[in-house]
This record gives sequence, C-alpha cells and structure tokens, in this order.
Amino acid sequence: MTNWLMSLIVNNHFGVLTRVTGLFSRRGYNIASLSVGETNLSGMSRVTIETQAGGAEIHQIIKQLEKLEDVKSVALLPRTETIARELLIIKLIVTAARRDALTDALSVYDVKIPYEEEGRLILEFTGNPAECEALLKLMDGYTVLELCRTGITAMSAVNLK
Amino acid sequence: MRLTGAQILIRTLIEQGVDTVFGYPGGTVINIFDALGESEIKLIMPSHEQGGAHAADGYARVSGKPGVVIATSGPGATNLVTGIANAYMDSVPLVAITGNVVRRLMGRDSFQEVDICGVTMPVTKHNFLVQNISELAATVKEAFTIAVSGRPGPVLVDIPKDITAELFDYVPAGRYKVRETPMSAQSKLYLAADMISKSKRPLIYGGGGIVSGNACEQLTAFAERGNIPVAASLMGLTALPSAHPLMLGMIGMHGTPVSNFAGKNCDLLISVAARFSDRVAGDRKRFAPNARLIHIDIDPAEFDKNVVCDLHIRGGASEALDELTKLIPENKDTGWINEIELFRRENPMPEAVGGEKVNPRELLRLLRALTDDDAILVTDVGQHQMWAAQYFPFTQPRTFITSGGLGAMGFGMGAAIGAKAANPDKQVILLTGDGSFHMNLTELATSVTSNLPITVIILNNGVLGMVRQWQHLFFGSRYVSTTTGRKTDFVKLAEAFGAAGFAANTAQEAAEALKIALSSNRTSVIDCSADPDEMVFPMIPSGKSGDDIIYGAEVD
Repeated sequence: MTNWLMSLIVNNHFGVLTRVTGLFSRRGYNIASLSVGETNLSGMSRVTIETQAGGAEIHQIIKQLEKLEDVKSVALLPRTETIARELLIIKLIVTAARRDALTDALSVYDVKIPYEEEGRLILEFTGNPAECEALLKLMDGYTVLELCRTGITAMSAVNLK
Repeated sequence: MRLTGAQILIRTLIEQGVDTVFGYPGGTVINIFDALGESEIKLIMPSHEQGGAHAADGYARVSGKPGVVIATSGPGATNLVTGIANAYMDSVPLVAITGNVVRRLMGRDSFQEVDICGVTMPVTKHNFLVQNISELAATVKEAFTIAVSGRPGPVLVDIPKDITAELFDYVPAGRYKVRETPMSAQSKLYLAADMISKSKRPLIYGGGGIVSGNACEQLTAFAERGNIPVAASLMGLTALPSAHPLMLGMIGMHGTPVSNFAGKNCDLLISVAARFSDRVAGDRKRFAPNARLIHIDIDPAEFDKNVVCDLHIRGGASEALDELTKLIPENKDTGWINEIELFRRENPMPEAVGGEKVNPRELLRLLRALTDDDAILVTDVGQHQMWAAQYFPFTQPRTFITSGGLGAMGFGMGAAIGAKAANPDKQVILLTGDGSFHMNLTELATSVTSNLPITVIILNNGVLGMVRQWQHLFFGSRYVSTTTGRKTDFVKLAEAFGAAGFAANTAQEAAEALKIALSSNRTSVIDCSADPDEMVFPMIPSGKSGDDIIYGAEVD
C-alpha cells in the first residue's frame, strides 16, 4: 500500500462530490484526505484526494474515476515537484506558565495565533502534510479542545518547466 | 414554437429515433403521458415498472437501439431499480425517464418523492435531475449519447413535474451521435498479432460486447483466419453459431468441458469484449494458467480489474478484430484444433437421460427443432437458464436474451415482451422456471393486452433448483426454502390472464403444446413438469478453477 495524491477536475454542480466519494466507498477504496474548491476554469472544481492503494489498485481507481461523466480529468501528483498544503486550526488550553514554552516550541513553524484569551488560544498553520503531522505531534502535550484540518490541496509544479 | 416540457420531451425522444416506449403512468408523469398520447410513439404499459424496465432492456438487446422506460416518482421510480441495475451489469443502452415532485416540494419528503438520482447513482452510467426547462432537450439527447457511447449502459433522467407543464421555446436538439472511442495505438495491434502468430494454442474468450458491438462477422473472420477456437461467456454465446466448428460453447462455472479444457491448456488467451467475471474466472489467479493474455475492450477500466493481462487493447470489438484479422497470418496448423476435437469427443456434455418427466436437455433440442432459426430465446435465471446456455444451438446474434451479470430472477417476462415489441414478426420464447416466473408473471397481462404474443415454457420442478443444487452439493442436502410447495395451477393462471395454458408431463407433450402455441399467435404458457433432482453439470464450484470441475453428483 502506498500513499497517493490525486487531483481531479470535475464539473461544479450538485451531486458531483457524491459521485466521486460514492465510487470510492462502493468499490472499497479508501479516502485518507479530501478537499474541494473552485478553480480558475469556469464551472469546474478541483477535488484533491489522498488515498492508500496498491500499485494495481490505484490504476483501477483512476480508470473508474475517469468513467464518471462529471470528471473531466484525473492526475496522479508526483511525490516531488508537487505543492501540497493543508490548513490546521487548533483550539487548545495553555496555562500562563506554559504559554512561553509553547511559543518557543512553535517558533520553527510559521504558526499564527489569530485569537487568544485567558488560558486558551487558537493556532493557525498552513504547511505540507509532513509539517502538519509534526505540528500535531507537538500538540500531544497540550489539551486540545478542537481541531480542524482542511484536507490536502495540491498542485503539480511540473508544468512550470 | 412554445411547447410544454412534456411535449418537448416527447419531440426530443422522437428526434432520438424512439418509436416505442415502455411506461407506467402516475401523478408526476401525467403531463408526459398526455403528450405521449398525442404522439406517434407506441406506448406499452407493463403491469409493474420493473417489468417495464426489463422490457426496455430486452427491446434494446434485440434491436440494438436504446430502450426507453418511463415511470412516475417515488415507487414508480424505485420499481425500476432492478431493471436499471440489470442493464448496467450487462451493458445495455437504456434511458429511464422518471417524473419527480414539483421543484418547490423537493427535499421535503413530499408524497411519492424519492431521490432517484441518489438511488440509481451506483447502477447507472450517469443520471440527471433536470432543474430548468431550458436544459431539458439537451439533457435528454445527452442521456442517449451517454447510453450508447463507449461501453453502453443505462442513464436516468429525472424531471420534476412542474417542468413538464412549463412552456418554453422548442428548438430541436437533433439526433444523438455516438461518441467514438479512440483505439489503442497501432503498435499494440502489431504486438498482439505477433503474439497470436507465435502461439501454438490460442483461444478466443468472447464476451457480450461482440454481440452488442455488432462484431460477430468480424469475430468469425478473425477466428477462421487464425484457426482459433472460441469459448464464450454467457453474454457472448450468440457471437458465433453453436454449430461452427471453432465454437466451444460457454466457458466458466457451468461451461462446457471443452471450453474449460481449452482455457486451462491454451498458451494465449485473447479476451474480446469480455470482463473475466467471477462466473468465468472463479479463481482469478488460476484462470488460463498457462497462457499469456490479451485483453481487448472498449472500457479500459476492465483492464486488470479481475485478471491481470499481458497486453491491453482499447477499442470496439469490431474495429479491433478487423485490424487484427488484417495483421495475422492465415493459420493452417491443426494440432491444437485436433487436440480440442479429440477432447470434445471424449468429454461431451451430459446427455439427456429420459426420466418420467420433461427432461430439460431434451426439451431444448426439441425447442430448436420446432422454432425458426431467428427465433428469440429469452430466459429467466437459474438452472433453466444454464441448460439453455449449454444445450440450445444458437444460430444468430441477438437471439439469446438473458440476465447475465445481475442474475435477476423475474427478468424474463418483461424482457420477452420487449423482444417481441422490437421484433413482432419473430417468434419469442421465454424459457423460465416456476421460481423465476412467479416473480413477474403479472406481465402476462401486458403480453396479452398489448398484443405481443410470446410462448412461455415453464420448467416446473416445484423447487428453486439452482439454490437447491447448491444446498445438495455444499450444504448437506438441507433444503431450506427451496422446496416451494406452491399449488399454482399455471394452466388456469394463463387462462385467467387471457392466455392459452398447456400442461406437459413429457418432452413429447411439451413439443405438441409448443407446436400449437407457436402457430396460434397467442400468448401461451406451457407448464412442463420437471424433476427437482435434475442438476446443472458440469460445474466449477465458486472460487475454483478448471482443475476442480464436477461432472455429476449422486442424489440421495
């Protein structure tokens, strides 16, 4: 099993996401992460899916996706030369005594603190999947009240060449 | 010209070449039926929407044109689902049109409201909810385009009732055009031709796409030039006449011994428009274990889905076979064919052994003798279906109509009516079992009322024979729920529906009844008393390979 990142261009109308996710569940494929948003192409959305699959299975997934009328293209993103990002928003309890230790630990990351009150704060972080995982590990020592992650969105940089 | 949505729909159907639809009225399609009533389209009303969907499916399989079925919202729409799923599994072009509640009531669990697009998503190629009358004509045309293009299949169009009443400027959408499937590069065909010319023991595994893709002549030319025997899937049985010397019959679970022998011993398997279903390749790892594999299919998602092949060629069967026939040398080597012939002579199919009742194998031979060459044989699902596949000598494409992938008992009555509607001049015979027939026998009313006479032959063994056979072989003969004990009098039943009823206790009696039925031009039901202990052999148990064939079993 390998982690794959795929990028779909789909028609932007109702039901399309159901068609895509329904295909995954129906055929027993797994979705690890999913994000959807509009694109610069009018009437088109991009769906970014992270999935775990064997080498033969990933080809099946792509071909099955390509059969959907609303799916215009499916691309497997290369491991390198892909800009992959995820947004994390984390609400946690931090006592005044640990506040400085936390910001010290976070200093290597480009973390924003968009909201803070006595004893609790909200962190905002955008990074690649590995950075997100590392940041979440750091949170192990704190009481996390709420955690949001957007799922990965990604773009291949190969076309820049 | 200002027309209602219903009128625009009907005009668009006519533009798509539709001359027959199967439809059941209801609240949300009342405008559509009003418009249908004033059109030249022939409207056939089934007893139940499922029968209508199967009829549209049967119509499509026989005619090669997309079948159309119309149903109302809610239960009308959900009753179509088995029929749509059946068409999906067997790649049959079908356009299902459903009414839905008016737009302002949608999403409120209104009376007879069902999200039929949600329900049918997994069993359609695509479906549409028409949300604006301006999209209606283009959507209907697109539905036909999708249904017939590439690998055919069903498409559903859901239309809210208020759109069918709304007025809009009618602009003809024009006839759909089949979207062409690009063929694989020529280099792949050269590779395939090279593999074929080097093979000493090639085998064609032919599927339903040869029949639906009108590629039977191309298959014959290819097989004859390469001197390559053909084993067919259930769906591919009419691709080559049963009597053709290269035709080995059905391969797989209930396939002929010679087909499975060839599958096991070939050094090259050329799959043409077939999909290696579990009923063919029970053990995916041991199917054609000594062969390199070439897979030709219009749908690339079939490649390596079930069985991993060495070479994939994307394309329609007819174009691909045409090209390959040009590229392969004429093969005069008869070693492999002789070996197959020897095996076939020494390992024939089980013979009909008299018995007290109507012997199914004998019945199928009689049926061939008594029917026209172009007669259409429709089946339901179960033992009778397998016996038909094994013993009926097929002569022409599109004359065997059966539920392959879905295995839907109850398919036969509707499908036979659809087949007759597509071909009123041909004999249409439904071979069914008492179990399958019980599921949709109310369609007898449709056959009688719509003047679409068919001949129904019931192999009545009083049991659900195929499940019972599994219970006998694999469940210690514990016959749970398969001995039905029903007291149905099929002769009286037929008469009650306005059809003719016959009872037959021997094959000869069945033959006599069949002669009368076929010459009467009336819907007829022939109740053939059959032995419940008769089993379908040979059999490769589920998940097993050609090494594990069972040729027979003792009955306690």
